[in-house]
Amino acid sequence: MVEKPRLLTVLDILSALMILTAAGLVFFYAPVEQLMGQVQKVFYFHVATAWVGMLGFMVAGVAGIFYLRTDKEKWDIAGLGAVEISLVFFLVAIILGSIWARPIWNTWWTWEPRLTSAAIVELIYAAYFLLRSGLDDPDKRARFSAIYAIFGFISVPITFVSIRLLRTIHPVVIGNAEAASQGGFNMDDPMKTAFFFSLAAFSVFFVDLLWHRIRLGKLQSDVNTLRVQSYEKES
Amino acid sequence: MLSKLFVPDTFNYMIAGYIVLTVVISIYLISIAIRWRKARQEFLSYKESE
Repeated sequence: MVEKPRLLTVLDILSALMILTAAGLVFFYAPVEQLMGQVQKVFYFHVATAWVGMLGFMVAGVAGIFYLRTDKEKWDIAGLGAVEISLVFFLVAIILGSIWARPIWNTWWTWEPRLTSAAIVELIYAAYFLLRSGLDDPDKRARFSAIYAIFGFISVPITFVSIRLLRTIHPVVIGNAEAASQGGFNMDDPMKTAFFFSLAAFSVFFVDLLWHRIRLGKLQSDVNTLRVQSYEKES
Repeated sequence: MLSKLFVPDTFNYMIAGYIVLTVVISIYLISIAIRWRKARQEFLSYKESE
């Protein structure tokens, strides 16, 4: 078991400080949007958590490619960690979007392209864990998970571009919105500062969490090895 | 001035959003800490018995 690296402690502190600063910018620096009121402040962390979700799914796909090329367990552990973290953050993004939608669209949920594709992404990656739990052989499990993560990632860019290519009521804050979108707004400079700082803060938080999750995965793998050795010794 | 009078009151939705964010991520962080502690204890017990 490896001791906690000093750099990881530094990253823990940095990510905590950045998240707190982002919250400070959102609540005390960015102005209240005049048409939506306070609920617009949900947008900053809604986008940031969705970004972390998509980033993690991409990392899992890349880890899957490396696993298939090298057969090294560390890539399976990294892929598993990335999917787990992203599943949590993407779920938060979906719930935050739903809470924002209630006063703005007058509904918690609607089956429009962005929301539908986001729900499909979440279900695809939830199924990743069902697939893993159904396979006992570690090599087979890692190989299938890698392939699944690579193909599963196809759903992520589809979700990202859905609001830019399809007719949807989901607003596009950066870039040109579809005419049917509802709830869009123009960001002024303090809003942009809070927005981009939130993205940076959650990116650092993701790296920090992924590092912790990889360490946990390695420790669990070491425990499994010791368990097998102990069992063989007894029998 | 007039537009300020008509800013909708969506404060409760904002609070609900940030409560969800904090609770879900906190639960995940706690789950990592619990799994780490459990794996570490098991690892140390195997090492002691060697």
